[in-house]
Amino acid sequence: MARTEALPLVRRTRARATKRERREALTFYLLVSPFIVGFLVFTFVPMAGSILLSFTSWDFIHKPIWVGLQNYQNLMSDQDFIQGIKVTLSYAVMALPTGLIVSLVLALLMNRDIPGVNVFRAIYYMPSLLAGFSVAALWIFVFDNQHGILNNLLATIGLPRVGWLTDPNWALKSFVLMGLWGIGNTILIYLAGLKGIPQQLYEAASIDGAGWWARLRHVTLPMLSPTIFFNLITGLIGVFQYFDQSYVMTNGGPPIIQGDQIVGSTRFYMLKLYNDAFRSREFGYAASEAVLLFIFILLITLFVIRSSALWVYYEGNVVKGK
Amino acid sequence: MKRFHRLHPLFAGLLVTGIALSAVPGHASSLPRSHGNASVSIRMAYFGGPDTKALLDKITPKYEKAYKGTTVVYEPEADRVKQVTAIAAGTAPDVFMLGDGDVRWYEAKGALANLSPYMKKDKVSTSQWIKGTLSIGTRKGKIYALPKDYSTLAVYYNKDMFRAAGVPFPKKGWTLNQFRADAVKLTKNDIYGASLSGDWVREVDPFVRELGGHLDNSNGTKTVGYMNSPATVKAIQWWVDLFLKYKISPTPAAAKSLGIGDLFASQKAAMNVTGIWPSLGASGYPSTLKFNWGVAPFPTGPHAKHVNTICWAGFGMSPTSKHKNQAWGLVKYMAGPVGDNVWGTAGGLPALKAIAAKHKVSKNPVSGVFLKEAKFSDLPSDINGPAAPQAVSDTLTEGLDLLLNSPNAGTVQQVLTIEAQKGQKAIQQYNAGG
Repeated sequence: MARTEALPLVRRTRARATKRERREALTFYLLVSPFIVGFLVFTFVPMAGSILLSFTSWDFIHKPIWVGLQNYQNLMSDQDFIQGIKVTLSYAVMALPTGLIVSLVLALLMNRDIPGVNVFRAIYYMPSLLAGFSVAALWIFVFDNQHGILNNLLATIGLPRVGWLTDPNWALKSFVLMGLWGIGNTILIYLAGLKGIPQQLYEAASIDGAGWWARLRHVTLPMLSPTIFFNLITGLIGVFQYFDQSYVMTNGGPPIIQGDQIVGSTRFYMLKLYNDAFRSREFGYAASEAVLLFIFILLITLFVIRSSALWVYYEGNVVKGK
Repeated sequence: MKRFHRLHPLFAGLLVTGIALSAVPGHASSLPRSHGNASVSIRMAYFGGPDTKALLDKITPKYEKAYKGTTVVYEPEADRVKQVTAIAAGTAPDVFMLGDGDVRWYEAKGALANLSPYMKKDKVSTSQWIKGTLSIGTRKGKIYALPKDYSTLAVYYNKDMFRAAGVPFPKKGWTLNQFRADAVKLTKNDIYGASLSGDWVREVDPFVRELGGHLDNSNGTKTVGYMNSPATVKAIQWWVDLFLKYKISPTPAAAKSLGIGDLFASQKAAMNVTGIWPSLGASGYPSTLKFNWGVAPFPTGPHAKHVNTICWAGFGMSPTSKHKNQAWGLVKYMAGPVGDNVWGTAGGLPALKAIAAKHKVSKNPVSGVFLKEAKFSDLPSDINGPAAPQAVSDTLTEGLDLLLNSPNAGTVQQVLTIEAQKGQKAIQQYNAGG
């Protein structure tokens, strides 16, 4: 009985709220319309266009010819495509954890209250302001076989010179090493995260007898996990789109023989995609590679997001059973 | 006031949207407008930066005077991607400046107008051009592009080094084996006998042809059976030996690592196999080299087989131009006597016989050597078909990088077989794409 009496009241309240909400919603949509229009025109439509193009053969001049799944079938037997996946995955496996860990360690060091720490923060951040191509040009000199800084350092301590960019065994690792040059942004985000951890948590932990390792493990890392999660997601997307440096520094080389094929030891996925689109001018084929890359990044990002429930701690979360 | 208040968010949203949309470069705003009272505006895309623009500006007034009411609007092309995008968008320039690697693809895709009817109508005879300079722009007897400038390959040599080593100066008709033997004698300590690119296919191609090999068939549709033929394998082995066995030139990686740039100008190499470019301009060899030097023709292969190559740029016209007569007029001016007089003395060799004669190029000890080589130049293997840049150039460059930088990775036969198959696949992929 009580439920039936209450019903008209709820309806009246909803009707009043809907009118106001409608006006607010209209205001909201109008104000965000520049973004929505921009997103639709410059992101959504090109993305949808890419998906459609991936089912065509298109030389950019004539009208696209519908080829169905032919591009995708051809990709499966394209050695350079397979090599692009291998190289990019290898790079991701090496570069992502290295970048995340090194930048975390540096952020922890620079989170200390010591004189001159701001200078170090500026020094570590500055390289990340440089554009990819200029960084690549700089590192060509650093990695030079004869006159490069790294090989001169090795020679000084009596170690043999390394063909950083010319030796197939080293070229990809050189890119990982070079990647550390641009971790300033990640450090900055970590520092912001570290500043947000309440000091009383450390004080409480110290009173309970926790040493630096215990504080790091039980306070810092859990409280910083949303920041780590953010850096992981943006890092993931970044490593799978790695292009500038490989284009400038090695253009996919040095080549190696794999079975009955010759493949580039740094032929990243994006480099292959770029060459197919803008050198071979096979835009439909390149679009199919772009679609597959999008799906892969989407899936792996969703996987990481789903896994975050297991390892990312948000302050407002209520842990079941506690 | 209340009414205004209700409209406010709507107005604000529309205003912001309007501002955002006005920032979007529209199709119409990107099109050039006619200048002044000119009734026709001809758009021409060019590459080469301010230096090229300065040379274009020497030709433009004469064209505009001849074609009254026509204005030329120049559009710098940062890269070919922009040009292809413009063609796709239906906003292709009326006239293109073309690199030699683009002509076959553009022609195959219908992006270049057949110039032959215009030439016939205006009685522009092909015989006025030096032999070999029209081959890149010609396909099945039809002319799609006319030359801007070009160069063949020849050998710069350091006379002082030759004298010191007791090696006679190279002469016309010297052979590949003499070239190699001289280079070996001149190689000592940190001085190389020659500076060779190692993996620049345009340079490798004439060596291969003189030694009886071929990188692909004449119309660029087959690499298997050519790039990996016994004669080509032998020729590439000969080439690789220059670097790894005789060590007359640094490998590409070693040359890069030396950080010197021009080994010949720095007196780190006694010979330099290249085009006419280093001797052009204010900073060219004639005004900067402090030692005695000369230029010898490209060496001749066994059985007196002499082949050279050509590095070329030219002009073409869009078939979609709305002002074809004016566009053809511009091509005619750019590639004709007015233009050739400018390009042929600043950017390379003159393509017209009359301009070459006017400047007495054949008697010049430097440019004369390059000019005389033009009659031996053949259509380069890396641009003789629309897919050849990928099928021949990309594959052989990769193969040579492997052979020169990782000598133990595979044999020449093995590498060329793989690359020939890869090239064939690139051609098939191109053909499948229509």
